[in-house]
Amino acid sequence: MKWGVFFATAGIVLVIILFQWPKMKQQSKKDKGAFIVLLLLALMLSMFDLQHIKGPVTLLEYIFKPFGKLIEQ
Amino acid sequence: MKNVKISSLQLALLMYPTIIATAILSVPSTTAGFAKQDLWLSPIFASIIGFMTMYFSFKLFKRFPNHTVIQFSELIIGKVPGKVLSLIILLFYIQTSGFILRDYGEFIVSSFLLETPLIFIISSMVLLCAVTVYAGIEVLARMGQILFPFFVGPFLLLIILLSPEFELGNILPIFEEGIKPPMKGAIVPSGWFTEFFIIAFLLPSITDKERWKKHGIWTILWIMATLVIVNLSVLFTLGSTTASKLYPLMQVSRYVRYADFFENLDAITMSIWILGAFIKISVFFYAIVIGTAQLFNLSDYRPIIWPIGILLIEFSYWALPSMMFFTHHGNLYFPFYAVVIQTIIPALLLLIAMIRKKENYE
Repeated sequence: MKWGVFFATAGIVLVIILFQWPKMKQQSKKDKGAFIVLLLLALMLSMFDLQHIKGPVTLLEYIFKPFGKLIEQ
Repeated sequence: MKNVKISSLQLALLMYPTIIATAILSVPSTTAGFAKQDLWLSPIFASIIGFMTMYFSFKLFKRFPNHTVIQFSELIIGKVPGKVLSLIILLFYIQTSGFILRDYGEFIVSSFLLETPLIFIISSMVLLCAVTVYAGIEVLARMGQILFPFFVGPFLLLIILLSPEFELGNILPIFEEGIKPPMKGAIVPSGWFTEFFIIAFLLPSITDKERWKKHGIWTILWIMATLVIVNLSVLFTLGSTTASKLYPLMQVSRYVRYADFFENLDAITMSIWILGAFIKISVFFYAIVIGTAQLFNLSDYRPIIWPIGILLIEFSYWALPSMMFFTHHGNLYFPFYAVVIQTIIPALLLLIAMIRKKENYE
């Protein structure tokens, strides 16, 4: 876990909320919910050392390995 | 959502840099790795995938003229499967935008701004694109219109100034090992040609719907021609060493020396690259936010631009430890991923729509 990255992201998330939230007063609960959930998701991801953990790219590699071998020959 | 409109010519001017931008820089060297001196033929083969993608998306668009792919996949295969498929498509675009951002950042860091942290370059680009996307599709389209000459002009200048260095004999022998090597070399660029499917997010916003077919075909032909020109000029200048260069176009632009005045034109390459990457990322970004908003039936796409911007930055790092790994992945797996999501899935959707006779002209 890299605290610097996490706190930097948290700061950016805070700034986004400060600027965007007042403009969202009239919008439905669904809109507000999606906004907050996506922000939390982004914040959650920032807690990991993303470069060195497994992710979607690892999954893709697993799925498309047979095809990759095809052109490697 | 506000009803904003752009013309089909504007869309074409937007699509051209969207596909070309990242394709002219590193793709020639990977193509050369497979096709050797026949690398200039590969974009021609690859464009077949582009035409197929264009055909499927256009046929789907004819059935659902006012729906994006996120909306019509629900209409075609039902609510829940449609949502799942939409999520898969959106994840593809998010991951691809991550790749583009990483590619962009790594190039700038490795060639020009050697001391600048990668995260700063990527984040500043995302911020710029987020502001553009926030302004809406109309602004994005006009931006494409205004920037188009600045994208094509320097590129042509570069090729013209480079022409005295050309060694035309490098092209020989053609088809040394038959047709197979250039076909293999076409696999990587075809991944780029499939990105044409992103129009499935943009087509509902155009006004002159019947003219799109013509513009679409011309766009693919121009993209193909541009890639052939890039590959040829790289081949004429570098010859058989093309495959060993990470960014061949960048290398050849350093060769230019004309009238003791035009020198160090690598800055031109960088400016084309930044411009193109900006348009490309903005278009992808727009498709992602509009798609996400439609997936969750949100009334406005603008608030979610910011969180998705952070996610894009995170995806440009996620599970990509180094540039070596990144290039390897981009060559071996990305083209297949792109073809499956952007050509095969639309083809299946079209087939199902035809069998179930699904149409919607509202």
